[in-house]
Amino acid sequence: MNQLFIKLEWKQMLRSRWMQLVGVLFIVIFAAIALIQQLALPVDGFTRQTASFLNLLLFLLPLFVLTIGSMSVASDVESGWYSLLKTYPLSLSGYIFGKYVSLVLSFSLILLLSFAVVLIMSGVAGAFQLPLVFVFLAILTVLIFAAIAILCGVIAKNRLHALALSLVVWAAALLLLSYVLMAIGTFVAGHVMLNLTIVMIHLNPAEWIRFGYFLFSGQTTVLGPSFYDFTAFYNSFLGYLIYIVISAAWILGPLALAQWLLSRKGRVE
Amino acid sequence: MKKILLSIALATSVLLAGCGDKTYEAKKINPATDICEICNMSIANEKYAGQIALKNGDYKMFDDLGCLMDYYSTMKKGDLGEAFIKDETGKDWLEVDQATFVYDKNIPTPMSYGVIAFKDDAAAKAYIKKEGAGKVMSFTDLENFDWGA
Amino acid sequence: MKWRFLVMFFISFIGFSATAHAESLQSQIDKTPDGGTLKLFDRVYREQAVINKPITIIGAEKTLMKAGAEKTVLTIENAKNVHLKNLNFSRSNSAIDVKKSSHITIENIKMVRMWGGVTIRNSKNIAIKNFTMRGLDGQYATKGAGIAAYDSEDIQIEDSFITEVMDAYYLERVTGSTILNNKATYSRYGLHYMYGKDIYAKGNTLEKNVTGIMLMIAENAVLEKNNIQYQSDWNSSGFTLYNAKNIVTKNNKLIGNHTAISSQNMKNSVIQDNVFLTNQTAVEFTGSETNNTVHTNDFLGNIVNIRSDGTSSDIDGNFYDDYAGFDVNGDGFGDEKYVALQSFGQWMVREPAYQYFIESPSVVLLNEMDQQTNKTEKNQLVDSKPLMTAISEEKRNYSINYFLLIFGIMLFAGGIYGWRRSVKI
Repeated sequence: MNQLFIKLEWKQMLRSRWMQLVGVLFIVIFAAIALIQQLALPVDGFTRQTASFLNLLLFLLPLFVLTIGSMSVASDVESGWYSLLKTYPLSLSGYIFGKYVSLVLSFSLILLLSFAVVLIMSGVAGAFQLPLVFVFLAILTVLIFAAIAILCGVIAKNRLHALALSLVVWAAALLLLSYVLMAIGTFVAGHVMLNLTIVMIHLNPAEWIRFGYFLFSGQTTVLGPSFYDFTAFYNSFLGYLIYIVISAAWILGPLALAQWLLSRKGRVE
Repeated sequence: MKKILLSIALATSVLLAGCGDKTYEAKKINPATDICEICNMSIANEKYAGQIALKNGDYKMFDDLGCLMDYYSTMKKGDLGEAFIKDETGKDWLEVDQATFVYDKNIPTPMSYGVIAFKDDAAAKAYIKKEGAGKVMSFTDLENFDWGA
Repeated sequence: MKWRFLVMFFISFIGFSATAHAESLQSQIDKTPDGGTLKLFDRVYREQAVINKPITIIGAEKTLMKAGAEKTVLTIENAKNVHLKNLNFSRSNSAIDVKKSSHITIENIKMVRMWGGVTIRNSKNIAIKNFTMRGLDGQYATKGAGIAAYDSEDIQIEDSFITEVMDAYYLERVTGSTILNNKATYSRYGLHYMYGKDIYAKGNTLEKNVTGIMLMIAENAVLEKNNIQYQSDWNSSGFTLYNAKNIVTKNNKLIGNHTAISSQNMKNSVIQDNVFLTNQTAVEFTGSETNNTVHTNDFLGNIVNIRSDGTSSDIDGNFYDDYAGFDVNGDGFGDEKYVALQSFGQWMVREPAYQYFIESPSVVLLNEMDQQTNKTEKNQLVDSKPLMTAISEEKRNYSINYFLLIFGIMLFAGGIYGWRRSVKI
């Protein structure tokens, strides 16, 4: 039953016009970036080009994963499809898991296509412009934000609500939290600001992924000397282990919460 | 949920920073990252290093007593927690206003200001006797000292 | 009878050369007349020696000198016209100490695993050429300098390469120094000047040090045609110019540094015709209010072009790759002014923890907004005549990588096929 459900979801996901549009959009954007990178200067390290590549990943992927994922779950509930599903021998966790896996898989397919385009472009120009760390982080972004998307969808009352909610989450993660922090930084002491930033890195999945980029590309010095102890810790074996554990928590946490909420919702109805 | 956690973190850190009236401890120097607040040199020679603990819990590091005094003389005294300087042996941190100093232009400090610190008058005099050169100075002398090396 | 004589001769010959080989460096030096030339043997000298007369010492191919830890191999004191050539050093505290001497040349020197290399004090007219040194492993705070000069005049260093030391070339209270075509890597500071005067550095390559050129409390310096690359450690910078006067930095190439030029309390100085390529911050000013100009430079691919703590400097006629204006009247300069001021840039100067947000999504958006609001900015970091074309040219070779091309196409086709198949009923 589970497998059948995933297959069904996956088919539906790929069939949606929205998804196909997103696919085309990603391919075009990645092709454009690859093209710009070919023209760009042959320099390694953290430059404006790598920064814009990273930012694009952080801006676009969560946006589409969140909106598409949450709306898909919300529409299931809204349209009665979820109630129908409940009459089948499909467990609650089976439903959540199926939704999650199909969302992750369809975005992985889009990523695969986009990366393939980048490879083709770099093949033509001869320079390899797709660092492995980007591939890895793109997948991590999909894994984490897909889980949050499911949670948003479960919380939302209808599709519009889900859209609004995911946009709020997206804006908070990408922009608002940083702005709040930067504003706080103007009146607190430097070491307080530093600790708050470290706390935020763990509490904000977008920052967590961004930090992951610096960590795994070996460019932690970009963050400045005040983060020396913090990055030195994460650069150890234990640090990597904790990075994996926290990443896993960011995936499993929202999913578990979604399941709990959905089970309560079912009872109320 | 996130916001609650964040506000808790915020509140605790503000509280921690707020409970001001305390003794200040000198911080251990990290040669890989600590640089002088004034001249930007890395603190490669800890023996001559100084630091100022601010009331808000921040630390400012200095590679040479001269740089420390440069910062000290221009800072708002209300922000000052405690100023520390390594004693001549390089082992202990002394409170700057309690220390005794020796100046000689040949003492090779990182910025060549040539002033080093001692825990008391006797230690300073012993150093001068041993080296055969130098002038004892107090903290008030230091404040009016011409650092033009 | 004859054979006896031959044997005797042979034995005595062996004996003689053996004693000659065993002769100490010091006695060899002492035996050489003033102004004479001493050619060393092809062997290892494990000792210390003092030179205090005019002499030329030339090493053989395998001449190696070591004095051991805490010891200096050669000391040149109160001497004139001393020339050292073709020497190798290893495993000593320091190779050559020059004290109160003049007209010394040091050429073709190689050293490995040394705490420090050459130290010069109270001397005049010292020329060092083709000096190669690799220091010790470990944190730079525990190492010495490659070539260090104190209280001296007219120091010339050429074609040398120093790596893994604290400061590669250190000059304190040196008047008149010429540093040409040298290289320094993996050290704390490449070139470190303190209280210097009449400084000239040209054609040096400084790579992967904490700071390329550290110029402190110095006057009258020309730094030109240097390649300053990848200084990207914590607190790294290409040039740090602190409390300096009359400094001209021109025609340098600064690539991939944490901060390319960081200037503090600088006066009457010029930054011109440099290329700033993909640095995190290209130029930073703190407390530099008097008479500094930044003109005709290229700013390409830097994250922050120019930032300051509020003190303004004269910025004029540079090329910025993120300039969005047009040149309608065709005079080669953009018609609209370029505002380099960014609120985030200013914050980063003041509070180090802000560094975390460098080019983060939120900051990128903030900078966009800044571009709009700062249009009214008149004084701070404004270039009223931005150049329309870069002064430098970057060339790149294109070649086709078939493996990537084919792999990419296969991946793409596979993806599309998978998608279409899944969609079919």
